Amino acid sequence: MWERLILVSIIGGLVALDNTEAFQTMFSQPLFVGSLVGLIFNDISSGLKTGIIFQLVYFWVMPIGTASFPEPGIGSVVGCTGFVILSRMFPDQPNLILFTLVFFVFFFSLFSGWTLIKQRQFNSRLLPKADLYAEKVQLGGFDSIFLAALGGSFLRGSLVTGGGIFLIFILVKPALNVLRVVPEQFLQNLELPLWGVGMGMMVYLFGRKRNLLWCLLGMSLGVLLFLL
Amino acid sequence: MPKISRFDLLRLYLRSFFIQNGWNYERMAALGFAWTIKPLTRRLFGSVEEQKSFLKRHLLGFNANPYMINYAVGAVVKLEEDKAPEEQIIRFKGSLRGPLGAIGDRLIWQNLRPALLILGLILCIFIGAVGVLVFWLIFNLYQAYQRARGLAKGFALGSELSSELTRGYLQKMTEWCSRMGALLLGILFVLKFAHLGIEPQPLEKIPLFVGFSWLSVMAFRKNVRPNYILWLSLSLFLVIKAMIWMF
Repeated sequence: MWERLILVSIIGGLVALDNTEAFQTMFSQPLFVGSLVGLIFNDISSGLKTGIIFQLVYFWVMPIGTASFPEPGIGSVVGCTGFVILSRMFPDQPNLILFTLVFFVFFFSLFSGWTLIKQRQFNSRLLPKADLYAEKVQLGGFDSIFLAALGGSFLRGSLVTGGGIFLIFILVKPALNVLRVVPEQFLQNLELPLWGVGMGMMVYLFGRKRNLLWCLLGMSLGVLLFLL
Repeated sequence: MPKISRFDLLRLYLRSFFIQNGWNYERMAALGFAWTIKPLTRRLFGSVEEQKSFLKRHLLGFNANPYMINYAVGAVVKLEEDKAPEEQIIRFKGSLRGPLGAIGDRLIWQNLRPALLILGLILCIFIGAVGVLVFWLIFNLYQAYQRARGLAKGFALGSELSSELTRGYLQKMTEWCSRMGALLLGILFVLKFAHLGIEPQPLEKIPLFVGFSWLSVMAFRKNVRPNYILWLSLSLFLVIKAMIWMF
């Protein structure tokens, strides 16, 4: 178990890098991260299911320029890990776990976004050093700055993810023990409002009048695919 | 005699994947930009004074969409190779900031990424987790191509780069991504709808799915903050469930 949790923390570090610092391959998207976490815990279907839900909830997040935004990538690593672990402890209440985790990940992603702001403020402190290296034409100095920024970001991602998993055990698990009184049937179909939030954003992005024909064509193709 | 070889361009290309590293609120992507083009310092300039001013001018504030920034890298490197005056290079680089940010954000963040994510979601319904891999591969093939194209075009065109930015390719690509997104959205909607139809309790599920989707569309169109939409949807869901539970 511990090795897996450490591996998940390392993935959290890589997600932090991918989100804003390096590569930007979309490895940090909840859809991808969910499947990966599922793979680590030998439960791909749970990981994928949770990844899809977080992807829909955070479909609107775009890490553009100076905007401050939540970090759903790290939030999803923690959320999907929490779902896979907790669904083994509370096997009869998947909806209650998902409901609690949606709340938790909402606040945790905001916290993670705040640490990103701090990380960027830390990067500002590297500027005087860079100026000094430029003044002295000390090219090797730029590499040390590069490594400091890269390492700082990876460390931030790993620590935040590790901290999040710790919070799953000390906050979410006890909360679930209390919330167990809520009948599971009461939360049945919980994923539908979350799908609604995602679909809303998709329609907002693509549902323009000039795309109407394409959308109708897609619907016809959808019917065809379903019948096949 | 050109000083920048194909190998140099390859190095720039590989380094450009780290260009956002060290991003900060003061000078944004300047640290990454300077680090990316750093290997050219001694190749392009002989005297220490020239090297110093080269590094300093590229530590000035700069930002662009990360997938489009290679246009700026290529064009600026070309100007440096041609020994353009320092003021011209700084002014030119500054003029690229807005267009590269706006075009890139519109193409990648608002169209390509969401469209491919919808494709990923559809594939997940059909083939499971492999669909995620397909999404990831397609996106990265495109980003590798776009970064290479940006660098090559920037380097070939230099200060004439604006012709590439205003000409068809990027606009057409954005338009096609938007159409692809609409097409995929249509497929996803029907598949999810049909999927709910064949599951147990379709008469409860379908109205919930359609109703919450409609509510979210209206809220997004009214510019309600996405976080509020999430809370509103969850609260309404609990109210509906409580009413069903009671009656």
